[in-house]
Amino acid sequence: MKEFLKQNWFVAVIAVFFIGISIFYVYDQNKDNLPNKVVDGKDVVFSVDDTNFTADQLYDELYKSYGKSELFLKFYMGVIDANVEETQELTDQINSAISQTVSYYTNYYGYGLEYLNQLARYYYGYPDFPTYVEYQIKAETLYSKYIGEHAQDYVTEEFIAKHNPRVISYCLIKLDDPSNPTAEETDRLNAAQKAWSEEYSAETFADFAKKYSEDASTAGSGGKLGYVDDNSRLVDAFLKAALSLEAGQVSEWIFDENYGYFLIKCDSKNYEDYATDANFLSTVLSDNANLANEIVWTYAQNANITFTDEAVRDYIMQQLNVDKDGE
Amino acid sequence: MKKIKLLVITLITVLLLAGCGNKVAKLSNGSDVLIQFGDTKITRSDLYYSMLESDAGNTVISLASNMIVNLEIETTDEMLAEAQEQIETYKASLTDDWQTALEKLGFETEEQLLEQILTSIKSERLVSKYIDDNLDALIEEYAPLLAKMIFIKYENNDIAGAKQKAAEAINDIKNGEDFKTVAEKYSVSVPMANETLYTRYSSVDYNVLQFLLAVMEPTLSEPIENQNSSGIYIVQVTKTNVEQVKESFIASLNGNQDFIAKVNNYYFTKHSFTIYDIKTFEYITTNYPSYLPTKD
Repeated sequence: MKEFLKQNWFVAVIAVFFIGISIFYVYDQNKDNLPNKVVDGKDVVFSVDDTNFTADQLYDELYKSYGKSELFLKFYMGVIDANVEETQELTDQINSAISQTVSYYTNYYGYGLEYLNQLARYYYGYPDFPTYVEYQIKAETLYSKYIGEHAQDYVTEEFIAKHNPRVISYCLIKLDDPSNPTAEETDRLNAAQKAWSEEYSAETFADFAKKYSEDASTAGSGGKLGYVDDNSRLVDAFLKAALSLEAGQVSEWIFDENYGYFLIKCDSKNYEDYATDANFLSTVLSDNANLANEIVWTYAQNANITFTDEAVRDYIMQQLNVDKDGE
Repeated sequence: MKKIKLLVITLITVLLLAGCGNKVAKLSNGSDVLIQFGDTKITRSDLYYSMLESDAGNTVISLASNMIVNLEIETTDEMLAEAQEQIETYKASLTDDWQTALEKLGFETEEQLLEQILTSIKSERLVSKYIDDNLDALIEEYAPLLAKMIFIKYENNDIAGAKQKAAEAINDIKNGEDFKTVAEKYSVSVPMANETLYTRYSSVDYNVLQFLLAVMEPTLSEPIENQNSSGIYIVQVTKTNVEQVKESFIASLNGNQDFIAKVNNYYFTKHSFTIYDIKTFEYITTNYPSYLPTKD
C-alpha cells in the first residue's frame, strides 16, 4: 500500500481532495432538509416532544373538517370529466372566459387572477379560478347535452307559452342624449333609417347590422344577440318588441331614452337554434329546481361509478338531493 | 484498477445521495379507492392532498397547540367548572336535542366537547403562564410604567408663549391642581392626560421615551421639547412599582399580537415541535412562520 501511495502520491492527493469536496457537497445539500420519521411503518407528519402525529391521524382530523365537501367536489369534477369530451372548441371557450373575466376584474376592480383564485378556493373549494371556470363551462355542456337528449320533457308547449323563447339580432344607433340628439347624430340616424327602408330587408338584416350598428359587442356578428325569453334582462321596450315578433320579422325602430334607436329581428323560434345557449339552459334549470343535481347524478350512473364507502355515497346523494333512482 | 472503480462508484453514490431528503409523509393505505368512475379512481391519497391544500397548515398548528397546552397547563377544578358551565349555558339556549347539537358542532360525545372547551380555556392561560414565568425578564425588557401627559403646541411659532404656559402648568400641578384639569386648560390632547401604560416599545415621542426609560420613581418632568420641535410635553409618571403596573402590563401583552407570536414560538421551541413532511412545512412557513421553532 505504502509503495502504491509513493508511486501514485499525486493521484492520491487529488482523490482525497475530491472526496473532501464530495462530503462537503452532500452535507451542504442536506443540511436544511427536514428529518424523516417512520413509526410502526407509518409516516410521521410532526411531533411535539416525544408524541408523534402520523399522516393517517392527520387524514382523520382533516376529514372531520374537509372530507365530505372535498369528496363531493372530486365526485362532481369526476362526473364531468367522465362525460364531457374535451374538444378544441371547448378549450378555446374556457380560455376565452378566463381571460375575459381576469381582464374585467383587473381593469374595473384592480384585482387580478390572484384575487379570483382566492374567491374560487374560499367560496367553491376549487384549487384556482381557471379550474372553477373550466368546470362551470363543462357543467353547462353536460346540462345542455342532457336537456338536448330530453328536449321533449323540457321544451314543452307550456314552456314555450310561458317563456316565449327565440333567437334575436339587433341594430343600435347610439345617441349620447337620445332626447336631444345632435345634428351629427340625427344625420347618422336618418342615414341608417333611409338605408334600411331602401336597401335592406329581413333577409339581409345581418349585413345591415354589420354596416350600421354601433353596438361594439354585436355589430361584428351581424347584430346577433342570441337567446331571449321573458326572463331576459333587457331594456323594457326592447324586450317587449323582441317577444312580439314572429320568426323572420323585423320590428319598427324602437326608441330608448338611454341608448337611442334599436331595430330588432327575430331570427328563429326553433329549439335547435337555441339548444346550447347558456341563457336557455339557465331558464330550464331555474324552472326545474333540482334538475342540475339530477343531471349530475344521472351521468354519474352512466360513468359506472362505484363508492367503496356507503357513507360517502349517502352524503353525495344527500348533497344532490336525489334518491337512489335519481329522483 | 478495481480500487479506482470502487472509488468512482462510491463518489457517484455519495453525489446521488445528496439529492435525497425532504420527504412527503404518505398515508399507509393511500391507494385505497374511495370513488371510481370507469378507470378513474379517487383514492384516499388524492383526498388527503386536497384536504392538506385547503387546510394550509391550520390543523397541524391547532393540533400541536392543543398538545402543548395540555402539557403546560394542568386541568384544575376551577377550569372544569368553567367548561361545564359553558356547556350548560349552551344546552339552555338550544332548540335541537343535545345529540343533534353536538353532531352539528362536530362532536360525537359530550366528553369530546368538554375536552375542546378545556383546551380553549387552557390556551388562554398559556400566555398568562408565560408572563408569570418570565415576568422579571419581561419587566426588564419592556420597562413598563404608568404616566399621564400634557402637550403644549407652539401655536404660530410662539415658543416663548408655550414655555410660559408649560411653566404655569407645572406650577399648577405642583400646587395640587388635578392633572386632567390642567390638561384641559393647556394641552392640545386631553386623553393623553389619562393614566396610560408606556413601555420601551410604545409609540411616543423619542425625547419623551428617553425620559421615561430613565425614570425609576414616580415624578413630574420638567418641560420636554419634542423631537421635531413643535411643542412641549409635561409628563407625570404615576407608577413604576412592578406590583402596581403588573395588571396593566399583562393586559397590554395579552392584546399584543407580536408578543403572542413570540410566546407561541417559545412554547413550540420548548416542546421541540418538529415537522417531517415537506408539504406541511411549506404551508406553515408561508402561513404560520412564528410557530416554527427557533434554532439554537
